[in-house]
Amino acid sequence: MDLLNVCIIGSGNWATTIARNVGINVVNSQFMENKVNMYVYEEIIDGRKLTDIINTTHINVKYMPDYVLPSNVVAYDDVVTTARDADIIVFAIPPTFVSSCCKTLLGKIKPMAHAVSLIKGFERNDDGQILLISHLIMRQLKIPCSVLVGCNLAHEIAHNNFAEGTIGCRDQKYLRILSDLFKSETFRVVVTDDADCVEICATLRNIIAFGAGLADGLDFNENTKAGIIRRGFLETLQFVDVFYPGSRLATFFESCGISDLVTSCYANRNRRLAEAFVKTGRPLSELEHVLIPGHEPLGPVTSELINLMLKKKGLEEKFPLFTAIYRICTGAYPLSRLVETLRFAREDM
Amino acid sequence: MAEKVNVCIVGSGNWGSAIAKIVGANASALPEFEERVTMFVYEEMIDGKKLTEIINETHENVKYLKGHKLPPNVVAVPDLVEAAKNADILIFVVPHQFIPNFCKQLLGKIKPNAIAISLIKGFDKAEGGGIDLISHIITRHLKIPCAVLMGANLANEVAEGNFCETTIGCTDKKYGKVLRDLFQANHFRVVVVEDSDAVEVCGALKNIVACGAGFVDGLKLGDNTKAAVIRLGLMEMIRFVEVFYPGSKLSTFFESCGVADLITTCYGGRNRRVSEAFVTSGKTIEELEKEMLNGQKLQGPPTAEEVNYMLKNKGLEDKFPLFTAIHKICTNQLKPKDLIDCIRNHPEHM
Repeated sequence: MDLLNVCIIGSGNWATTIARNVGINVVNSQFMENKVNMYVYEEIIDGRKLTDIINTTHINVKYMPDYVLPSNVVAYDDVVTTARDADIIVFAIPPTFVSSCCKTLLGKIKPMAHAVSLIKGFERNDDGQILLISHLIMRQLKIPCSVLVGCNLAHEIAHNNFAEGTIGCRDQKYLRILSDLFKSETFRVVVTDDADCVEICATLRNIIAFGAGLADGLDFNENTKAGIIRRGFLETLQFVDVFYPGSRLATFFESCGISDLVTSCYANRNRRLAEAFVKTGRPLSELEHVLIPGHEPLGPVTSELINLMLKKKGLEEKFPLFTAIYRICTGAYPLSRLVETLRFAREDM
Repeated sequence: MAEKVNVCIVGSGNWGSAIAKIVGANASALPEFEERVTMFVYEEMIDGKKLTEIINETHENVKYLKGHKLPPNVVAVPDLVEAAKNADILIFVVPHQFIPNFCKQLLGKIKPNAIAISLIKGFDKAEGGGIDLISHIITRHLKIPCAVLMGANLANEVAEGNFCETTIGCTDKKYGKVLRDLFQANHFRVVVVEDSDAVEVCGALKNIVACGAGFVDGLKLGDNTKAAVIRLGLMEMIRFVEVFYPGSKLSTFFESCGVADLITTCYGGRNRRVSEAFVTSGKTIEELEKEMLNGQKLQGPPTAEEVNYMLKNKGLEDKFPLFTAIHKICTNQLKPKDLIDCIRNHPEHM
C-alpha cells in the first residue's frame, strides 16, 4: 500500500494547532508520508512572506506566534500545489472561503482523496436553508468529507491543555486513520460514523449559547440557565431527528454534543454577544462587528436559517426555544418570552 | 385514592419550606387534594417561642426560610406521627441521617397504601460499604413505594419563584400524575420518568464530578478541559447506573436531574468551589469545610469514597478512571495535577 499523503488547507490558529498534531503523528505512523503540505494564504509580515517565515522558523508568526510546528509541515502559498498529491485533505479555512477554494481544486486533486472539515459554521443553500460545510465540500469536490469538531478552543489545545474532539467519519476505512492523525496525548479523539449529527450539533449550539447569554444578561440564576441549556439540548436532538434522521443518541454524549455545548454556554462568543445585547440594548448588527470580529456565524444568523427550515415544515411550535431566540433576535418577541418558552415547552418529545 | 389525597411534608428546613410553598398552593387550588397540608417541624424555641407556633401564626418559617410566606393551609405539627398518620403522600425532606429513625417511628402508624417521595439529596452508607439510596431505605423500612424528586433546584431560588425544572422518578406509573400535580408550578416544571434509581443516583454522583470540575478550575486548565471532565463524568455516571442499577434509559440523563443538575453543580455548586480551593490553598478538605462551609460536610468526597468501595468490589476501578482519581485526590493518594493523566486513556477514548 502506498503511503497516505496528508495536506492542510488553512493556516489560522486552529489550522496551525492541528498541523502540529498531524505533523507529529504522520512521522510516527508507518502508513503516512512524512511531509505534510499546508496551504497558507500569503501575507507579508515585516517585509517577509509568511510562507517563508513558516518554512524557515517553523513558526506561524501571524496566528500562533508561541508555537513551533514540526519541520515536516511545509507551507505553500498555492492551494493546488498543496493538495494535488494528497490522499487526505484537511480543510480549516473560514466557511465563506470554502466554495471558491473547492472550485480551484476541482479536477486537480486525486479522485480517491478523502476530505476532513475542521470548519465551524455552514453555508446557505440556494433555498436559504443550512448547507453543512462537509456537504458543500462533497458536492463540489465529489469526494467524501468527514468532520472533526468538538470542544476545542485552539489556544487551549495549543497549550496542551487536555481536550476532546469528535470525528464524524464518512468512510469506514478511515475511522482509525483519522483518529490516529489528529489525536495527541492531550487531545483525545472519539470517532463515530454519525457525521451529520456531529456537524449540526456544532452549528446549533451557537443558538443555545446565545440563549444562555440572554439568560446571563437578564441576570437569571443558574437553575434557569441550566433549563435553557437542557431545553436547547433536547431541541438539538429533535432537530437532528427531523432533518438528519438516523443519528444515534450516543453521539450527543460525545464532546461534539454535551461538552461543546457546555463550553459554549459558559465561555463562548455567542454567549458574550447575547449578554451585551441585553445589557446595552444596542442592535445585534452593531454589536456583532464591534464585539465579535471573525468568520464564524453567530447565534442570530444561525437561528434565522434554522427558523427558515422549521417554518418550511411547519415545526416552529415544536421548537419553542429555537423559535423564541430567533424572534428575540428580530425584535418580534420581548426578552421576557425566553422563560415563558421553557414554562410551556412540551415535555413529551 | 377516590377520596381527597392527604399530603404531609416531613421536614421544615430550607428546601422543605420552599417546597411547602408550592405544595401548599397546589393542595388548596386543586380539587383532588385535601386542602390542609401537614408539615412536620422539629420543634425549636426561637426567641422564647415555639417554631411551630410561629409558623402557624405568621406563616413564615423564620428559622429556615425567612422572608417567605407559606400558604396558610400548611400547618406545622411538632409530632411526626400526628403529622403523617392520615397522609396518602409523604414528602420526605430531612437530612438523610434522620431517615432510619423517622421511619422506625412511623412504621405501622401510617396508612398502609400511602406513598412516599424523597426530596433528599445524598445517600446513606450501606452496611459494609457502598451506597444505599434514600428511597430504598424508606421503602425497606416503611414498606411503601417511594418516588424521588431531583433536579437543578436551589431552595432559595425556588422559593423566590425563579424558573427551574425538576425530575420526578416514579417507578409506578399510576402515581405519576398525582405527584406531578402536587409539585408542578408555573415556575417549577416537573417531568416524571420511571427510572427512579437513575434519577436519585444522578443526584449523588454529580457531586463527585463537581469535585473534578473544581480541581480543573483550581489547576486553571481551561474550558475545554473542564468540559471534557464534565462529559467523562457524565459517561461514568451513565455507566455506573448501567452496572449497579441496570435497566435505566439513556434519556433520563437528559432530564433536569441529569445534564442540567450536573452542569449547574459543576459551574456553581459548593463542591466545585471547595475543590477549587483545595487545589489553590493546599489545605485539607476538612479545613476548607470549616472555613468555607461553617463545618458543613461536602457531599462529593464521601460519595466518591462509597462509590470507590463499590467499584473496587467489582474490580471496576479502571473502567471509572475519573471517579477513581477524584476519590484518590480527596484522600491524598494522588495530587490534583495527576487528574488529567488518569483520564488520558479513558475507556471512552478506546
